[in-house]
Amino acid sequence: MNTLSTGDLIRVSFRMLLVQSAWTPTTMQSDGLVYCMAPALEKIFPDPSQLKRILKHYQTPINTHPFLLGALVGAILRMEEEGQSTKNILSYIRTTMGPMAALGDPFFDGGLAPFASLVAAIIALGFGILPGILALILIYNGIHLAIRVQGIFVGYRMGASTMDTVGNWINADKTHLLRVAGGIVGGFLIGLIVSRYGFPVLPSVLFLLSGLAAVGGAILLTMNRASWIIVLPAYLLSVLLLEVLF
Amino acid sequence: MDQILIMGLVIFLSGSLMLLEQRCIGKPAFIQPMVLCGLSGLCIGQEAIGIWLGISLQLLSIGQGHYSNWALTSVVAASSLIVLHLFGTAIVPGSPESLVLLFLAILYSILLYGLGRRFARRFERPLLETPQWQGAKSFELFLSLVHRSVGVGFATGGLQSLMGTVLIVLIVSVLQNRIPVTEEALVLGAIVIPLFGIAVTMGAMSRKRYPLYALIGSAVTYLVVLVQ
Repeated sequence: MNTLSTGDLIRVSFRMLLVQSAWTPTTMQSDGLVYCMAPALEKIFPDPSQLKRILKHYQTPINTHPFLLGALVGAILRMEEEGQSTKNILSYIRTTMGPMAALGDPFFDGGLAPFASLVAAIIALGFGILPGILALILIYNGIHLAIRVQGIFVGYRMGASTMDTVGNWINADKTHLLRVAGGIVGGFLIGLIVSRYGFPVLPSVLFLLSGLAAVGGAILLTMNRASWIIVLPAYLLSVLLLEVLF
Repeated sequence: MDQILIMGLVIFLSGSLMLLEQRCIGKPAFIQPMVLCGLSGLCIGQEAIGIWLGISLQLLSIGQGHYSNWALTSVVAASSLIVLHLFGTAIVPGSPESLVLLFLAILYSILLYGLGRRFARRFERPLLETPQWQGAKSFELFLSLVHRSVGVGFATGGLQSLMGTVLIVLIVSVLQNRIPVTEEALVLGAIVIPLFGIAVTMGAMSRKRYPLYALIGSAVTYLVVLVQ
């Protein structure tokens, strides 16, 4: 039987937003983690002396991607509730936090943030600033908040097997997909920017050269055949569409 | 004089709250360059510069969180835009004034980010001085650290926003209309920065770091056209 209710897990979710508030290089997220779990741990361990003993377990530095911390927190609460040993719980934390960070950094910082920004930029240029802002907030916040909150519930339900589910949510394939989508959108944005600010003032030669320079810059930056193969056709298509439409 | 004081207070308070949001509420997207600059452009009835500034800073900030506090950049750029408008300065995308505003906002936040990190280390001292986790005591210590962090963050965030805005407004006002620019240069200035931002974003996605070369190329291109 579950000790913790949905309300308890929601309280933990709200506290999780503050987990980075007192990040230090020595304790890292562990202080925030304890603060986050405190209401739930008080319910699992109503005896204050036992709770004090349990809290001492978390004096080890803990650091992972903040958006995936929810899954770790949920799993820890489940393991504490099951009465698993300190050794098991700490071992789980140490073996999980690294892979979670390795999944989270490329997905959120290297995939979602750029993709959301590029899409929002296109929408802002095409439809106005308010739709652009809305797109940015909905895409970026919608996805990371859903993962953060859902992570707590899934972690609490699955305990030590949580990593399998988290690994399905944000694996290397999905990160790659986000980057490919970002490359395509970036190509469109290049064409849109040159068309919006440059055309028809710039001579057509300079227009084309600036576009090629931008694509060349993108090639240099990505240095990855797959990326410029995506960006270049997207740019050319966007220029064609804009020339036809305007 | 009253108007200036009220303006200063508004910048202080809004800057404080926005910078606290970024730190204390776990990196949501509300205080983002596109949001702040876009809304400020909308407020002053100049959506074009709001969009241009917002997109440029938004794309430039991707993957660059280790060098600068982009929330501060956004706050300072947005408030400078509004204050300049109130003083009758209209900024056009790609104009020297817009580029100066952009670069000053970025430079200012890079400098203060470095200073801020040194100052923040003082906060961990109380926690380091606690020899071991005392359970409840450490928990209280965490809360007191958060409260102190919020309090100091509120004050310093407001001061940083105010100082940055004053600096940028002064410099841009001095430069206003002093740099002659052709229409082609204006257009190129409007294009080059967002394109450079796209290059930075692409670099963040691929984990390669070549924005400096792209910046140099962009600056040289712009200067060549400006001189012509």
